[in-house]
This record gives sequence, C-alpha cells and structure tokens, in this order.
Amino acid sequence: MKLTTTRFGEIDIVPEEIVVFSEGLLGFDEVHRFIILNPQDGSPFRWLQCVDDGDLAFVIIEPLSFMFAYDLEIADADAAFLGLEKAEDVVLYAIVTIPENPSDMTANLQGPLVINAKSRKGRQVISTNSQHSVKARILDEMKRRAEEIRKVAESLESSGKKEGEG
Amino acid sequence: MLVLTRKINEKIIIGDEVEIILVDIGKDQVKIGINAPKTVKVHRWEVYEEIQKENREAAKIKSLDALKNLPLDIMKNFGKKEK
Repeated sequence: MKLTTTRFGEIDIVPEEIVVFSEGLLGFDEVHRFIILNPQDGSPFRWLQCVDDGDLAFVIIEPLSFMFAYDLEIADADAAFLGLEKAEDVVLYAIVTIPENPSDMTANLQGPLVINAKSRKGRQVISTNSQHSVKARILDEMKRRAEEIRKVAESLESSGKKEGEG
Repeated sequence: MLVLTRKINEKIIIGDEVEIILVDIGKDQVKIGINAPKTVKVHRWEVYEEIQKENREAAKIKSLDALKNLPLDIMKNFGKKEK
C-alpha cells in the first residue's frame, strides 16, 4: 500500500503493520491509523506516521532506551480498551518534542502511547504517576540512567569482593 | 452549561453511573469525590490540555536533522532495554 507523506515522500507500507488509535491522539482525534517507521541507523528515535493524514507524524521513543526505569501502571479501563491480556504484548512509546536547541529535547512521559502489539490497537493514556512529566528532559534522564547503571555495577562488584573475602 | 448549587455531601449524578459528591469546601477550592465505572476516564482538565499542547508541539517536527548536532557520545549512550 502506497502512502504519500510530507516528510518521507511516497512510502510503501504494509497494511498489517498499521496501529489503530481509534480515539486518535489528544488534540488529534480525527485521525486513527498510524504506522511506525523504524530508523535505518540504529537510532532509538522512530516516527509515528499517520496513515490518514500524510502531513502528520510524531517522533517517538521507547522510554527504556533512555531511562533506567519507567514504571507505568496501565489502568484497567485502558487494558480493557486495548484488549491487553499479557504484559509481553505491551509496547510503550513516548512522544518526543525537539525545541530549537536539540539538547533540550523532551519526552512526554505523562501521556505515553500504549500499544497492544498483538491486536495493533493503541491509545494515548494518561499516567497517574506524579513523577511522569509531560516534558522529561531526555539527555538528563540518560545521565541519570548512566549513573544508576554505574551504581548497580559498583554494588555488584563490591558484593562479589565480599563473597571472595569470606 | 448547566450550573447547580450544592452543599457539602450533596451529590450530582451524570448519566446512570457517574456520581459526583461535594466533599469539602475550602477558602478558594473545593474537594470533589467521583464515583464512576472503571471504563470512564477521569482526569484533571489541565493534564489533558497539557498533553494536547505537547502533542501539537511534537507534530511540528519535520526531521531529525537537528539531532545530528548533538555530541556523538550522547547518542552512543542510548541503549537497549536492560535485562
């Protein structure tokens, strides 16, 4: 299936890969079908290209590609809406905003996209976790993540030493 | 718009299933209790509005070229899911 887009010109899409957000996204409730375009260069950023409107696309990212942890409680209503049965079927994305200075780019962790990979249904949900900001600074989160990983590595190392000594 | 006057502990019912109760009145705020089925989404309006605004902002991005100007070591720090 051919799709004409503003950003990528004419692209070939596989209809089976379309994700349906039947309510649209907040502020964009008229459009429902989207396709996820994966990067060729190994970058963590993807495009959520709208199929119903070739001009509309969002940059999205999986929270765990830049955060140490992202705990989202999926409400029963959302799970039922998406027909979610197993946690493995959940795919999470955050929509990215890139201001003039790209170092200030942010991810919307308060309004994440929850997709049921099996049914290919999606919904932009609202997180009730007060730690989840609409504008989480991606580079700051990355630094925090690196720090957390370093701490874990250190504690593993020191506990390993203790065992060795004992 | 329908405007109703209610006293503390008085209720409003919307449809058959959504019940709203005025729990408390402060100097410049009121506390409201909502009983609704789990399938009804209840959120503070500002949160909704903020996410809408953020979505509109995000939709303006035309390309990822700006990210090429970020230091390369930053991009390298992006990782896959930790196991």
